[in-house]
Amino acid sequence: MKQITAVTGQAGTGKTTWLMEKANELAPALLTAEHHSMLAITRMHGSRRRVQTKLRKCCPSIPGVVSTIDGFALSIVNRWRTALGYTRPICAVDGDVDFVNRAFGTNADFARVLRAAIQLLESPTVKRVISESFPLILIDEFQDCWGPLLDFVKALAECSTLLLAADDFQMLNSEVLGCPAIEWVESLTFEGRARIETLDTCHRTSNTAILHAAECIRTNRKSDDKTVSVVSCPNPKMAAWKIVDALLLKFYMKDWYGNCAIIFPSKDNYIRNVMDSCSAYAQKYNRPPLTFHKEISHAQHVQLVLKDIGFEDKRAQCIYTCDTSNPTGHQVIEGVRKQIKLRGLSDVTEEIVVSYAERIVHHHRSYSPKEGKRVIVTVHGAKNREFDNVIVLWPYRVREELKKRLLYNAITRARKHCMVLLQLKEKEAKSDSAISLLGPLEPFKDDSKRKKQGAKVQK
Amino acid sequence: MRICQLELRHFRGVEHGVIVLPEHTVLLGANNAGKSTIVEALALLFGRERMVSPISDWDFFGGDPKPESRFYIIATLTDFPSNDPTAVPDWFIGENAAQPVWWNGESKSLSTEADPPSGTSLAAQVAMAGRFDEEACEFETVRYFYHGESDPFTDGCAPVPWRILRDVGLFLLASNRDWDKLLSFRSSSLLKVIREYDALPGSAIDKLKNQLRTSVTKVEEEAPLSEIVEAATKELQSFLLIGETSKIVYRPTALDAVGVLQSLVAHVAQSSNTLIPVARHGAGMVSLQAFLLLLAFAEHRRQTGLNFVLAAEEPELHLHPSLHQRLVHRIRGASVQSIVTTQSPHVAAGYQPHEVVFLQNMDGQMTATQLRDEPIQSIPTNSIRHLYLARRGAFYEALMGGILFVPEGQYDFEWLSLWQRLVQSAPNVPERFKLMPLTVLPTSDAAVVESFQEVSRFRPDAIPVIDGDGAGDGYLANLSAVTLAPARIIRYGRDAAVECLSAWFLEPALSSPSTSLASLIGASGKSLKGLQDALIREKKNRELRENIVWESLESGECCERACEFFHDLAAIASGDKPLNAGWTSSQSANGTVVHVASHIERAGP
Repeated sequence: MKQITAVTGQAGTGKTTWLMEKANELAPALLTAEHHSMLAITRMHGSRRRVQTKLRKCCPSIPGVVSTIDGFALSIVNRWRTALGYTRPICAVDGDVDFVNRAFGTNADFARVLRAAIQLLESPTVKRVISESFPLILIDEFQDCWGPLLDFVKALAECSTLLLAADDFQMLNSEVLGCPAIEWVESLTFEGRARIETLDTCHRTSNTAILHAAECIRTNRKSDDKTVSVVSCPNPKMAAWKIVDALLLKFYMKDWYGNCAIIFPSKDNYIRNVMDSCSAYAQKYNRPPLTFHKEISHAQHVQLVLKDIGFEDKRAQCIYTCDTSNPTGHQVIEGVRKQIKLRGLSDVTEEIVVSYAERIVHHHRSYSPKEGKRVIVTVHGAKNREFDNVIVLWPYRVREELKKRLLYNAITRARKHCMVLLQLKEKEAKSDSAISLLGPLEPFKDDSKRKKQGAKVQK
Repeated sequence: MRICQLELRHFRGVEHGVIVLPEHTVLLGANNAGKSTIVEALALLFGRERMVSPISDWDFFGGDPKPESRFYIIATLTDFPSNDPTAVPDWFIGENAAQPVWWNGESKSLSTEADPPSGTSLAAQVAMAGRFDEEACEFETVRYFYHGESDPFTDGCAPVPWRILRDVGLFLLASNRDWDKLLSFRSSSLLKVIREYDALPGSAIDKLKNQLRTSVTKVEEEAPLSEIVEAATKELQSFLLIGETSKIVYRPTALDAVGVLQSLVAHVAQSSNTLIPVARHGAGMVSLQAFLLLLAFAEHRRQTGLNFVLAAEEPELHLHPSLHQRLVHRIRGASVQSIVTTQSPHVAAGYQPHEVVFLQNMDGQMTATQLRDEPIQSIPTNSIRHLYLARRGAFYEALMGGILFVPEGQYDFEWLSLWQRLVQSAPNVPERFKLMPLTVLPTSDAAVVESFQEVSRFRPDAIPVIDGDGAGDGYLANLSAVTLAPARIIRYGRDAAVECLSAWFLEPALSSPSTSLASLIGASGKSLKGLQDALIREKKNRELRENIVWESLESGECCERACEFFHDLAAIASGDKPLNAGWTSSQSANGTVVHVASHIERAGP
């Protein structure tokens, strides 16, 4: 029976750092032979990137392999695919696909790949090989694991020593009740198989307002005092003014230096209107436009690339006619042409173009850095990241079950300043389950901070 | 560690073929059956490309590779130091490693289950794939761990590090070997092999290098060279800037390690102390010494616990036949595994039947059959056991030969072999006779049916030769009843046996018989019948037989008859019409065509 060591704590308490230190502590005892390595896995590519960077910095002497959990499961399934009865290589795809034979391999959806990997791990030989290859397995953002992913981690727990970091409040999936991952580890502490350490000092920010706000949301307590700046801006133009002021005009909000992120829970017209108004204001005040790097989802990115190479009009034939200057599009075209040559196909099919576009986009998103000075991103996209300043745009419609968690995660991204701009009216804000926890609202124009006359605001 | 199985796909002349390799193997087969292909495939996979010639169009089946064409060489290795994959971490542990698979030595099959079935041992599969890049006009190869069918160039793969392949320790003795090159350090192959396998005596080379730099006789200080050097130095100085001096010094080599190695010329002591450079020796002497050097290297590896697998093409080259058996013995002793191709029945005879693999290639489908599965003593039939024991050399020679005939028994075999030899050496063979290579099986105990059944497993084209008598009728019936009946059967005429055949050959010489012939027929019968009777009477006299046949070389007509007969045999085997009008043929119910040489019959009464 292998030991499990877990760390939990709120956002910004340094769980990932703790993981690294614990890894440095456990590695010499566990990784004794040359062929032993440490495996670091996460659910998403974003976290995988961050773990990889952190490992390079904090654990340079530990031989390690970093991967996503799905990727690791797929590698096990591919290595032992003949034991499962498949000869062609297996590719993981979305949807509900049960090991379907395609032109160049066998496709299966992620859940099935995980289940196949779990089945393989039941074999004593496979278990021994994996545990000998990776005696120590590190998992960051473990709260994201549920369903087949969690089952796979449970199977891995039989092979190797696990090091986990989790925060249940950062589990943002509304389909899942509670946090199965943490519940599992907690159940094991009763058997003596696991140890959980909780961190409580927030290292990310020393801003007491933010800390207080975060605390209130977590404990579901209404704050009497003001925490972070919460402003009701039913009119998008009001929110836009606030943003422009903070980042350009600095009438009311000074010292907003560093990078800034606009975080919103989900797509909504409100957001779009606010951003449009921002551009209008910047123009009006003769300032350079406020550029925000819009971080889009994988699917959106793929659509963009496909559109760029002319896939929408010409379908598969776009490969021959396209002459885009966009490097990503170019990569897709070159890649598809090479594939056709390597496989000796007489003509290109749509499936190949789409799958190649997916592959290139995936590679881009996973392996190229994407920080910018100003980003606009969803709460999901901002997970486990931190920014100097955060502006939260809170539209009317937000999923009720996730409100608190979304708000918590958005606010806790900030190191220095945080401002929440609501579409709700003041009265509605007071009765909202999440917003009401943040304490009294701030008036739209705070005269005490006003330095200059002259900026006329249009309501 | 040894290679237990090799699979080839679209490689050279083999579209698909799988061969199971016992510990020591000898490969037999017709030319172009794939013997060299197998040996070179192994060398490509486990050795560096330079061991074999570089990849070209002809390495792809069909010789015309398209961009999507691939060739695959897939080898299964077993006999690892342990059956637990975690005890062999180099192969099975890590991010890119082999899949533990299981080899059943009994059933000669591979199981890819996750856990070992009982009675199996740990195995791993590595493969090499090649493709042709049309645009760049280049070939690309990759060696990877085999996890199932895939195209490593498009699907990605787990590459095998060279140091693991090196652990297999495969060495190729190619058939086109130039011993001088092989032995000299100028040859990249020897140098590389020695360096790869860490046998380079680095410190010795260093010492030699230093010696050559410092303590060797300063040639340039001896007259007359010193005068020349002085003059040259003066000239040089006039070209140099003032203050700089240069001196010309002669040394035996460019004074670096490579130079030292390359300057070493292999010499072999001929007798007493005469050292003669290898290039000037007779090939045989050189072959032997070089081969033994190789084997010593092998022993060294084995003693240090390293693996040594020898793949040798015709190791008997340049060597006296009496040495062939000893060669085999040394190969088997020195290597963990050996795979040998040969043209020598003596070499083949050094292997047990389950170690002899017969290769056949039908339009690219290569099949490899072990001669027998069980040890010789377990073969039930006496006559068959005889083939594999006492008559092994002749048996293998027959298998490897051209058109194969299965006679009734010992005497037929001896007579036919003798006449065959005569035909081969006869002078002035008339144009109309096309003589093809024939071999005869050393049947014993009149076990023609059993022998045919045994040999037809590998040579379904074998042709039984039966007497024209009543016993022959019996054999004919039995042969027709065999599951895979022969396509053709040859019979002598009425009541005739092989002695009648010989009598027919010798008939023209009866008028003026040679010494042995005369002593055979004695005073009586200078008739055909008399000759036949005499031959039958003296059937056990081997010496007489040999003498008679050799002496008949003098007689042009005897030779002609013999040549005609053998031509007819070859013609019949190829489906052509025989020359002699005496041949009749009839087809039996199951399709076998029986050709009867009615011109050869027992003279009566």
